[in-house]
Amino acid sequence: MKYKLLIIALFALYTSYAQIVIPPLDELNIPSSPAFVLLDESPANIEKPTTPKAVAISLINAWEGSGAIEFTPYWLFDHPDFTFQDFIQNEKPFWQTFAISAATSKSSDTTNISVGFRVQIFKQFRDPPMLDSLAVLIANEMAVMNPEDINMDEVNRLVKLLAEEREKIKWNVELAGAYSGQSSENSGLAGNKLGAWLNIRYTPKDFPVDFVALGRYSRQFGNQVPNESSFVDAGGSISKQGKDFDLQLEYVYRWDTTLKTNYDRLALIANYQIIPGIVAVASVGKNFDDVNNVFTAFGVKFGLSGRKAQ
Amino acid sequence: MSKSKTTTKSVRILNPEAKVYLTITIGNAQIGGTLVKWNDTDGHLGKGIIQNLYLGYGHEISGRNLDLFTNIIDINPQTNGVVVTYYFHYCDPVTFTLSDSVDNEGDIFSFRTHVNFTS
Repeated sequence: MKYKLLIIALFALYTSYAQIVIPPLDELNIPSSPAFVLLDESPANIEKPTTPKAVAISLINAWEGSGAIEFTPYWLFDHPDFTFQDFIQNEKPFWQTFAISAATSKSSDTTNISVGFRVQIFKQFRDPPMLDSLAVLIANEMAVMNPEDINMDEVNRLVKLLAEEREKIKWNVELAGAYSGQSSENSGLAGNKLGAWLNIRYTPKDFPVDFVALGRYSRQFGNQVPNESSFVDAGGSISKQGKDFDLQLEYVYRWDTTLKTNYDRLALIANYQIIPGIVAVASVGKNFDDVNNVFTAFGVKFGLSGRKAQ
Repeated sequence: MSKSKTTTKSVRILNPEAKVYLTITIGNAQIGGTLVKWNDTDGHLGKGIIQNLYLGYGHEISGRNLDLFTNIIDINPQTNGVVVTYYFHYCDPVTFTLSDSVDNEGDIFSFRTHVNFTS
């Protein structure tokens, strides 16, 4: 709930400064399926095959009509020696996380094809011993003769804790890329869009702030796009999240490599939950490309949910 | 929801004077626990994560049957495959692997394996 309010606040803030072409920092995040963001329309159904045979069938289906597929080649096969302890200790899970996404969309006279990947190149959990301990506790609960005798309430409680702990990553470095092309009855397949992303996040266990560095390269090119463009975006933030407040200092830099110009922005954004559902928002910042380049914004956001903020 | 598979394996003791240990590995980054017991006794030999569990000298366990109850819960969002490998020191085969799959994340698969030690 708290995050939703924060997103609403950020969206309102950026909307009010819509004339600025600098993208919000969140926009530089790696998309969950990079191939799909390059297509102009979101795929209605994404197939996620888990066997080599299913991958082949899904690829044929996607090729013959509009469709989307996403899979991680490593997990198409069993890995008897890759234990949960290996998963915890593996700081370079390249092959385990290398995911491929592909999509096609067809209109009456054109076909768009997009292919992308996403991979975690470095990862370090905040508390590996905690994950290990939870795994041991679950294993002990599971060690019974008859599976009906397993205390599922306790197992589910431990699995939930494990899932929460697994989300707490100290170092997380991810890389993604995507490439799309278009073909028509009059022309062969030709590339028209390209995207690449790099995200670095550092969330130390016993440190008061989190650090994020994000980068993105995006390009539209070729005869099929009306205006060629390419941008290099980079940004970073230092943030502090408390029980009732979020405080974030963020910086975004955009280099327009087509027009050979650049913009940047520095902003301090604060959110304070007055009572559950009502959040005060304040921001102050500086757009370095404008003449009147200092901006401030204050407001109150109301949430409709009565649930307590997490 | 849980699925199960029962398997019987015959394992030959290679050295009657050697100590035989059992190690069980749960693969695919899943989590599982095993209850290990002799077929002819009530109590269990080991429970939970099994690593280098002492079974006895080769000549002591020859002719006996070991029951292995391995329950694996799918906690890996990347795959529904479950796989377990049993390692017996100084035995032939030294390892055997069983694999299957569950329908959904959070489901449990039970491998019930009866091991007959022969000399």
